[in-house]
Amino acid sequence: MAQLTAKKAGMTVLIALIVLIALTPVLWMFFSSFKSRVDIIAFPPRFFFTPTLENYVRVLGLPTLMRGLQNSLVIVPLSLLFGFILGVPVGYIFARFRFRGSSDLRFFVLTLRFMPPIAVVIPFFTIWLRLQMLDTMPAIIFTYLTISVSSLIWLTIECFKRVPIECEEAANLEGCTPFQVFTRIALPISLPSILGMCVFVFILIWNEFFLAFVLTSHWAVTMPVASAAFAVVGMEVPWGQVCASIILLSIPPLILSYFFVKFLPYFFKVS
Amino acid sequence: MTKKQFFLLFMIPAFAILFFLAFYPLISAVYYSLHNWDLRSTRPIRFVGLQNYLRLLTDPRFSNALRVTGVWLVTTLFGSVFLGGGLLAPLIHDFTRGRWRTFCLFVFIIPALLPRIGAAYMWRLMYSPAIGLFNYFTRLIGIGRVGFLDNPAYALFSIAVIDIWQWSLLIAALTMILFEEVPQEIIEAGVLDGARRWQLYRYLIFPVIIPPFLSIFFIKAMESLRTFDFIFVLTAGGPGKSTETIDMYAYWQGIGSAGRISYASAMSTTMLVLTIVLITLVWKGLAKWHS
Repeated sequence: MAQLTAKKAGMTVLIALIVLIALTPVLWMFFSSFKSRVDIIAFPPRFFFTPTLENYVRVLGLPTLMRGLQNSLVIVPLSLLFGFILGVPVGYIFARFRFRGSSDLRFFVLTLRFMPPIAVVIPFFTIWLRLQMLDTMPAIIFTYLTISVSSLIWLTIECFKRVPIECEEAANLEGCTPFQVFTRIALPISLPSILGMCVFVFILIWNEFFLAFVLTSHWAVTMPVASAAFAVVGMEVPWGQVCASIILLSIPPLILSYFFVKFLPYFFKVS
Repeated sequence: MTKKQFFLLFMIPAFAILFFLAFYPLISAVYYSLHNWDLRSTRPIRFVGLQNYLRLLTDPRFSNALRVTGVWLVTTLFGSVFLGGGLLAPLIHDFTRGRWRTFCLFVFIIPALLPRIGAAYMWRLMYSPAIGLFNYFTRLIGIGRVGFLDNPAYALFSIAVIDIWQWSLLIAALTMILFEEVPQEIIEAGVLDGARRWQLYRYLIFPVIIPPFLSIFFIKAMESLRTFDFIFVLTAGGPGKSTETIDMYAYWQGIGSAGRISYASAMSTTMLVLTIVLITLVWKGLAKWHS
């Protein structure tokens, strides 16, 4: 018995260690963002130091980063909104209607979700270049519809399938049109899980780097692009400011991750 | 509104936009790849047939990129699936209960939800030869200074560790959720028969969850194929060409510095065809498995 308890205690310590290791990179950056310049370039690394807000003050005064933050706060919600309007009804149609070509169209939506960005980024670059819309917000929002519409279609199919079909049939018998069944029955019932999907897509777009990096340069930069702009590969970077800006960039996904745990299994269903 | 009107009203706009967003770039990429468009050159653009693709076949830098992409795919895919699904998930599942388990789940999904750019900088800070945490430990145990990202022999693996960190934890969380759906009777029967812990997983639990587990595997494979962000922030393809994947090479050729739109398009088209073949094969395989 004592042996068993010892083993259990040992395992708990091991798991606590794993949790700590899992969080080390995040915590290390978090603490470093409060270090002064001297503390950050010290070697061996300092585990105890006087915290300072100077990195945050400096970063919040940088025009590029502030523009990135403002742009992201426009681009991400708008992409999500358009994605919602265009994608969610289609998710419902896939969940409830039977029609020819349904599974082919669904497969097409799936391939969009997994399309390597490098395959589309060069043509997008040339389109927006020709239309003289490179580095504008409408261009990037439109490009992001690839992600938001296809992900929302894909993710909401499962949500709508979980709505009890009897409710919809009853509404149909009461004389509701298909559109009313959708807006008054199916959508309200599945709304909590659909909002969970929206959180996921929000994080997906908020974090997106590659497309934004290629399609924007100055005016329409998003937050990830602006935070990455600090450092040139091979050179030592202004770490204090990088840490502060990365922490700012990571706050929205971190807050949203709390709401996210219970929807986790949805995102990894393929078939 | 009839069912048909509802159908058309919502399907047409969504798919019009999706078809445009998917096919216009793809068709243009193929079109460019058959020409000789070069942003740095003033010569007139003309049709060159398959010349760009033939050039790919003999380009040592491209075959290097293919090899790096292959090593990257295999390392990160199997590393994260085995570490996360095979080791971490059973360990945490067996030795945690209630709130402690929920807390572990929550912690494990955090790295995957972070912006990849953010994760990349976090690790670049820790890998730094001058001020990094890892070099502090390597000196503590007497190995001395290690240039994790400066040595072509292991730069790619140093970056793969980051990807495995993000994904093995996420896969562990997902697998633990799958474990909870396994009927308790199956496990109890196994315990009564005197099965050891690993036998329970090997012969009873994993066979039950294999279809959803395979789709996790599939998604990870797709995600591994498109990992521009980490490599871009940590090494940008160097040192030498030791971490240059196909995305990275196509980026440098097409947009980054060289401006060879046509040549880069040939590369990205090749990459896309490879991906689509892979998706289709796995998708059909999974469908067969289900039926």
